[in-house]
Amino acid sequence: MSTHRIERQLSAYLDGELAAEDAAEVRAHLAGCESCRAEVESLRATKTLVGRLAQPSLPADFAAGVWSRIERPSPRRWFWWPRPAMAMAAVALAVILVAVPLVRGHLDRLRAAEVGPDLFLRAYAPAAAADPFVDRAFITLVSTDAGLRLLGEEPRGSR
Amino acid sequence: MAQSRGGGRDSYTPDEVARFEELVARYSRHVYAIAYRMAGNEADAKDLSQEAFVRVWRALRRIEPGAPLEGWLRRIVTNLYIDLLRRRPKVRLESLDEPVATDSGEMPRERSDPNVDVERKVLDAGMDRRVQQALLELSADLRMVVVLADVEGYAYEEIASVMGVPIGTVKSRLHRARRTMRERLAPIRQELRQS
Repeated sequence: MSTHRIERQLSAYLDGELAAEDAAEVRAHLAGCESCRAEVESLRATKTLVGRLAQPSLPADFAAGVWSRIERPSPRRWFWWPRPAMAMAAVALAVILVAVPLVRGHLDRLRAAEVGPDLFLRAYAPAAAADPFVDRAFITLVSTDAGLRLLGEEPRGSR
Repeated sequence: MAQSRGGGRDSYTPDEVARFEELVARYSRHVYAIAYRMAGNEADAKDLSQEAFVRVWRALRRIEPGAPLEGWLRRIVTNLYIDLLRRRPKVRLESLDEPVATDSGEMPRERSDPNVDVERKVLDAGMDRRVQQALLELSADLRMVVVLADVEGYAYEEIASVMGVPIGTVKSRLHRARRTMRERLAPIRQELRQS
C-alpha cells in the first residue's frame, strides 16, 4: 500500500475494521512512520472525545407523547385508502380516458359520413382542434382524404 | 388490517398494549439518544424518536415477541432524520440554548472499542455542548456516521445496513468526518490535556 492509501485506512485500522492482512500492513508501516503514528493518535483522541458525549436524559413525558401521537388522527388519511380502492379508482380513470375519445370518434365518424368529409371539416374540425377529447387521428384522416379529393385523387379505402 | 395503522389504543388487546409499553420503556432512551445527537435539539429529537415508536405500534402484530428491535429502530430513526432533512434542508444548526440534560454518566454505554474505556467518563455540560456543536457543523451524511460509530459504537457493517450504503462508503465518510472533527475539537483536546 502507498503511504497515501495507508493514511486513508487509519480510521478503519483504529476501529479494528481492517482485514487481518491489511491491518498487519498498516501496523508494519506505523512502526516506521512517525507522522502516521501521530495521525492515528489524533484520530483516536477525537474518537474518544466524541465517545465521551453523555447519553441525553429522556424527557419525562416521552411515553405520553408517543401515546398522543398514536391517538391523534392522521392528517394524510386518504393515503391509507385500502389498496383495492386505489386500484379501482386508477382503472376507472384509465377507462374514462380511453372511452371518451373512442365514443366521440365514433360519433364524429357518423357525422362525417352523414354530411360528407368536406362539409364536416369546414363545420366541425376548427372547433375540434381546441377539444382535448377529440379523436385527432380521425380528423387528420378525414382532412387528408378531403385534400386528396380536391387534388382529384381517390380517397383511401374507396376503391 | 385497517386497525394496524393509525388505530388507537383500543385496536390491540391489553396484552399487546402492555407489550408495546414494554418496548417503549426498553428502547426509548437509546432511540432518543441517537435522534438527539443527530438532530442536536430536544424538539426534533422527541419528534423523530416518538414517530419511530408510532411505526412500531403500527407494525406491532408483525413483530415477533422477543425479537431484537434495536437495529430496526435505529434504521427507522435514521430514515426519519433523512426525511426531516429533505423536508427542512435548513435544520437548526445552532446548538442547544441549554446545556444538554444528561444522566451524568450513570448509564455507561457499551463500546466496541476497548481503547475508549480508559476515558469513558462523560464530558461536562459545556464541553458536551461544544462537541455537539462540532457534530452539527458536519454535513448530515458525515454526522450520522459519527453518531452511529463513535457515539453509539456500532460496527461498520451495521452502519452500512442502517444507512443503506456500502461499507467502503462508511469507512471513507467516517475517516473524513473524524479528520474534520479533529480540527474543530483541537482546542477542546488541548484544554482537556491541560486540566
